[in-house]
Amino acid sequence: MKSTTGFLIGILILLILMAFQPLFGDDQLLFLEGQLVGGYSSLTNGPILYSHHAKDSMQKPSLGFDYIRKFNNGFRDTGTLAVQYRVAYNESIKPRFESQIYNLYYKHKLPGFDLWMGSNRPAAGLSSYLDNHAALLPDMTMKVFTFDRDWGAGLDADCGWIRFAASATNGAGMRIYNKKGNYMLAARIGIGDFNKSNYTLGLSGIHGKVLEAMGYNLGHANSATGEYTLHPEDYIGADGSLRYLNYFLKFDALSGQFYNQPARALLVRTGFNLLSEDRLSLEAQYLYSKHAVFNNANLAASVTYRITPDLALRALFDYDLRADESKIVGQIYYYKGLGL
Amino acid sequence: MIKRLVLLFLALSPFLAYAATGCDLNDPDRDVKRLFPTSTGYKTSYASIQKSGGKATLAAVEKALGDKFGGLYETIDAPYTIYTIYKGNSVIGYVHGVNQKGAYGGLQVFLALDTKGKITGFYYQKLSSKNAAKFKAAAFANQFTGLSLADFATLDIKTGKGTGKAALIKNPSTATDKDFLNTLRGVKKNLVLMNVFIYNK
Repeated sequence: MKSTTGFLIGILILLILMAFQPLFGDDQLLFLEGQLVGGYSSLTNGPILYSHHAKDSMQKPSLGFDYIRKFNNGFRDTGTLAVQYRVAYNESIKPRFESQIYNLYYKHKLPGFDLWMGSNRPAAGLSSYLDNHAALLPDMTMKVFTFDRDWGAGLDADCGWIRFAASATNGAGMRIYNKKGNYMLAARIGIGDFNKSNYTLGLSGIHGKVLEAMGYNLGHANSATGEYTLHPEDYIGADGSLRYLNYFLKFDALSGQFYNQPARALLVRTGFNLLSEDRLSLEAQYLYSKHAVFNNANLAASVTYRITPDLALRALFDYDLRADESKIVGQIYYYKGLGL
Repeated sequence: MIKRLVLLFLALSPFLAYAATGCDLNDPDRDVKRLFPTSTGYKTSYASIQKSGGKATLAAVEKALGDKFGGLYETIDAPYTIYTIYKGNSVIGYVHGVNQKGAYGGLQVFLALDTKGKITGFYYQKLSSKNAAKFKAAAFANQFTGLSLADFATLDIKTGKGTGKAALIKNPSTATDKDFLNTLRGVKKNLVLMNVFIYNK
């Protein structure tokens, strides 16, 4: 999609939703989201307008919306439609204005479990339930091990104290691409809820043939055919989180094979919240990954300050050992409910 | 181009006033069944003070609460999630939660209410406290059962003192633990808001 077209379509959808928002019933929510992101990279020795990588989706200067609609039959909820969309500005690559679809799924309630179809989080690891939509800190989805969003279907079942989730997705990330049978199967079984019980613990498994994806960009094209190379992958993993008073600890670990070679990754994030209602949050993390010949680690620290309910300031320092790159990134982030 | 982005961002800033995310049940299917064992389903809806009368309603809510709204979660357009509970075609009650300032971050105080506004269930969805076990114990939660807004009407949420039944609720923790008064404020706020959104609609 051409950059101008993508930008105009995104703005048009947003304006239409805003125009019709006053007519919305009490079963819908619409949020406007906007962010400015910028910083400095020692690798380019100059300014950057992204937090992780020029080709990755998050975070970049962007404008978007988040829409949720509940469906019912008059006496009970039957499903949920969730749409999360951004138009992001690319500083150094084309398209300049990129349409980004995050959530675009319908979740239907069935006896004992919920079934979703569309673009959603694969059922593996911490990233299957970690809210990273505004975060500057990188996570496992920014390596080749799993995806932040993938197209397909999945189910969530809450069986008392055990939670089970499974997904069958396209294995290409945010982009819909399937020419050689790429796919990813994932499942997670876990206990706890970070909000409710102050802890989570889970075990995950992943099997599939996936593409190397970074946001909408695919990598590792075959030099002869131009087609993107499929990568067989098999992982098992463990994830968890724990909060005690103002302190929290989160981890995500995967081990197995990627492209027929041993691969593993580990994310450990810790931090603490300060001020009333956790307005100030300080976080630090270590992210290690190894696949094929790539052996890398990132050390990062982040600070978040919520000025108002809708306005937050974030700053990130990230050091990439392999590239010997230091980044300092700042973000102004708005997230505002419309017409409530 | 960056200048255009910034200008667009600023142009939209009037829309970017104050709001906060709602207080949803983490496991609505399981929680509703636990709070209303005879229920056959629930319907989710969203409400706000803005949509329920705006500034006049906010003033009435603050007067009934006996305190001003403030902080990240107490804004005129904060969305509140209401679960209407059904048994067959009949409404048998409601579940509603509020965010409340706590000693360590925020609390999420949920109430199950019958169709007349009496509390049939109380629980914390979110609580981070050294005395979490005492606050979450049935002995504390059960003290709220059967109470309604009328019982909280004279309760001073800053001191916990008053003349109604709510003033008899015993602190399960130490006298210096602020989360007891925070909880009373959360419960009273929850009841006042439900009176606006449902019972006095």
